[in-house]
Parts: sequence; C-alpha cells; structure tokens
Amino acid sequence: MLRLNRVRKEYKGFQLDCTLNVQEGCVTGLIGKNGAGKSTTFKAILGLVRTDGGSIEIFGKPVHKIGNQDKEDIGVVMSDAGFSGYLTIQDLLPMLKNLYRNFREEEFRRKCEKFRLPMNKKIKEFSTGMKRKLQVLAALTHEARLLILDEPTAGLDVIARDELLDMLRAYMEQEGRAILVSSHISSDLEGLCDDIYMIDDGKIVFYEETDVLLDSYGILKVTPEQFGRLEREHILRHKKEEFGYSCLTAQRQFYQENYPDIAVEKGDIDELIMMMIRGER
Amino acid sequence: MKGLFLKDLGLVKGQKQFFGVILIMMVLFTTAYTNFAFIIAYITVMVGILTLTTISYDEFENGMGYLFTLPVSRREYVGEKYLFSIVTTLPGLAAVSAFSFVFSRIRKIDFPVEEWVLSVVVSFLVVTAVLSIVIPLQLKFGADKSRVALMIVWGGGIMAVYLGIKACEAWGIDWKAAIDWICGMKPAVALAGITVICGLLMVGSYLISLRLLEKREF
Repeated sequence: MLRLNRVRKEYKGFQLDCTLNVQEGCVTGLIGKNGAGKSTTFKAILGLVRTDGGSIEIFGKPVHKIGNQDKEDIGVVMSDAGFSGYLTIQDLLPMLKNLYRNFREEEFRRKCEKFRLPMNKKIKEFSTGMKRKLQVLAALTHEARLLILDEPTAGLDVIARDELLDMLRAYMEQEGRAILVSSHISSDLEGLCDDIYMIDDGKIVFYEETDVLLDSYGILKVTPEQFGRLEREHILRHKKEEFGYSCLTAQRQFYQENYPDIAVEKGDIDELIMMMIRGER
Repeated sequence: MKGLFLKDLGLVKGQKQFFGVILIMMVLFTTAYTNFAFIIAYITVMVGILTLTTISYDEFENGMGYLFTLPVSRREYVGEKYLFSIVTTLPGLAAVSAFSFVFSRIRKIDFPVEEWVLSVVVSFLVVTAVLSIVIPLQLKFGADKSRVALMIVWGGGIMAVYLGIKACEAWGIDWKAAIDWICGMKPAVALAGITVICGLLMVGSYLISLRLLEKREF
C-alpha cells in the first residue's frame, strides 16, 4: 500500500532518512519522541514537503504521480493542520460531497452528532479534541483504502479515544485497507497496530511486529554484579540506573529461564522507546 | 474545483460584517461624496480583497497544507482563486457602478456617461493589477509576510516609475506625449487595450502563482 525507500529530507540540524512499508490489511505504527521526524515523514508521504532523495510509492505509484482520484482513496489526519477554522461543518459538507465521489454524508452527520460536533459553529471555536474528531470522521467516511493518521488521538478524552480506536478497528474489518498511524500514547498503538516502527533523530531505529514485541521483549533489572555475569548476546540496549542496570532484550523467556534470580519485566512501548533512545548498545 | 468554490463561498458567507461595511460605505459615499470615479474604484478593490481573505482563511492553522491532502491539486487551487476573484469582483463592480450612475443622476452631480464608462474600466484594471500582484505574494509568503512584500513591491513600483521618468528626461523622450496619446485613444480601442492588459496580467500572475505554490512546502 505504502512504501518509503531511503526517503531523505534535510533541514538545518536535522536529516530524515526513512524506510518503511505499510502492507495491505495491516495497521502500522510510527513512534518516536517529539521532533524525531514523524510529522516530516507524514508530510513527505503526503507530498507537502519535497524530498531530497529516495522514493515514496502509494498504491504502487510514485508519490508525484498521485492524482486527485488516488487521493480519494486516502484519508488523512494531521497533527498540526486541519480544515479552515473559519468554516462550519455545515460549510464543509458541500465541499466534501464534491471532492469525494464516495462521501457518505448521512454517516458523517450521524457521527458528528454522536461525537457532539456542532454543525453550525466555526471550527476555530472547537477544542483540539473536537478538531481531531472532525478530521478523523472526514477521513473515515469516503471509503478510503489507506489512512495516514498523525496523532489522531491527541487531545481526546479516554472515552472518545476508545470510540475512535473502535472505529479504526471497524474500518480495518473490510479487506484491502491499511493504516499508518503515529501516536505518543503507547496503549493506543499496542491495542491497534500489527507492526511498529520507531524513529529517532530522523532514522528508523527499530521495527517489530506488535505481537512479538509484547510477547518476547522485556526489561531486565539487574545489579552491577548480575550485569557482569549476564549473557549479552540477546541484550539490545542497557542503561545505568541507581540500582544497577536496566537491559532491553528481545528474548525475555531466555532470561526468565536461565536467570531466575533477576527481575524480568514485560515492559511496554514507552519503556521500549526509552531504552532504545537512551540506552547504550 | 467545484468543491473549492463551494468552500470559498462558505468562507465568504461568514463575512456578513464585511458586506455590511461595504454596503454602508457604498451608501455613504454615493450620497455624501461627489468623486464617483473614486467610489467605483475603491469599492471594487474592497470587494476584490475578498479573494485574498479566503487565502488567509485557508492558511489559518496550516489549513492550506491539509487542503492539499484532500483531492485538491495545487494547480486547481490557484486556478480556483483567480476564477473566484473574477466571479466575486465583477458583480461588485457592476453593483457599485450602477449605484454610482443612479445616485449621480439623483443628486444631479456632473458625471458624464463617458467618464462613468472610463471609471468602470479603470477600476477593473486597478483591481486586476492589485489582485495580480497580491495573490502570488500571498501564496508565496502567507498573509502576514505578504504585507511586507507588498510594501516592497509598491515602493519598488513607485521607484521604477520615478526612475523611468528621469531616464526619459535624460534621454530626451517626451513621456507626457505618450500619456496624451493614451488619453486621446478612441473609447473602444482603449477598452480593448485595457481588457487585453487585464487578461495578460491575470494570466502572467496565475503562472507565477502556480510556480510559487508548487514550490511551497507546508
């Protein structure tokens, strides 16, 4: 569905060099701290910034050949942009109906009502969460095959976030679809994504299927003495702590079985990010 | 393009205060002021600025970048802005021209038909020139920076005219004769000439805008 191959973009003090794939039928997550390059990657995919090298393909076509007809198959949520604040949802309807042949107006209206989005209020008066919901609803109601969602859950309360994630899961029930999503809320990604890329300082530093990540990865909490006798072959990163060391491994079971005296935690995506970025090899 | 057009109509629809001000100014000017040529040009330019307002509103909170993630190409966007400027300015010009004509007769102010026609045509030229310069600037620099750019362009234009006159004087070219020649043109020829100039300005401006927007990053 989406393929980025050595996509480069240079800014002063920052260089993006990104390779990733989003397969049909999959929800792929992109995680990383602020300024890591997530939004630049999304903007490169959407043709909003010019790249300095590499290639981007959507639906098997180079991104510069993506026309309006192809764009009808893409739904987008951007973290730092949206519909003009001077419009109302009522104003948006005729535009969306004309831009998308498959725009489902009734469903859109119904969901706006469900999410309590006022039809005749200017969008600039909406809260951040309301603006985000509006973008998500617009992205979901025109039969897109690919969703590109940059922080779609930012600013949403827990209930709205759950409802939105359910909508994304329901969206994926139909065949031939895919999602690329970024979020700083790890539980969103754990429960939604099939695979996850981690980006740091413009580069993809980690890729794994979510099931493998949750089943096999772990954090070892060891004293300096335990660290000294630890087999390092399966240690991806280690970090000095007050008690000794934290170690990230992709073979949790191995250490659980062979080192019963050390504390092995399952770890979540937040800890993984922390270890991948701050830990030493 | 129809979708964009409907969006801009939605944006303009929210400008009730702006239309109210225009209407009040039109009534005040035509009832209390005697320079009808100025009134026509002033109101026409005010209406023309509506298109620039829609560009500013599109840019609000990076909205323009998001717009290009929808099935909207940059070429379509630029084309729609020029079309929208024509479609909104022409009725405005027609309304203020008709208003001025009627009120000048009611108030018995000397405003001959020839002068009225010339005012309408010159106003169209002025608004075309303003839009042709400001639309590309706004698309390139955004609403805030484009004001600075416009001042620079305006200053540069005045400087160019001044230097042109000085150069003509230095080389012994009678530039006043050229002005007299233009003023002495038959109305039909002048009208045709101005229409061609307006068309060329718009086309040139459109091509520049397109190039600028295609290069712009969001």
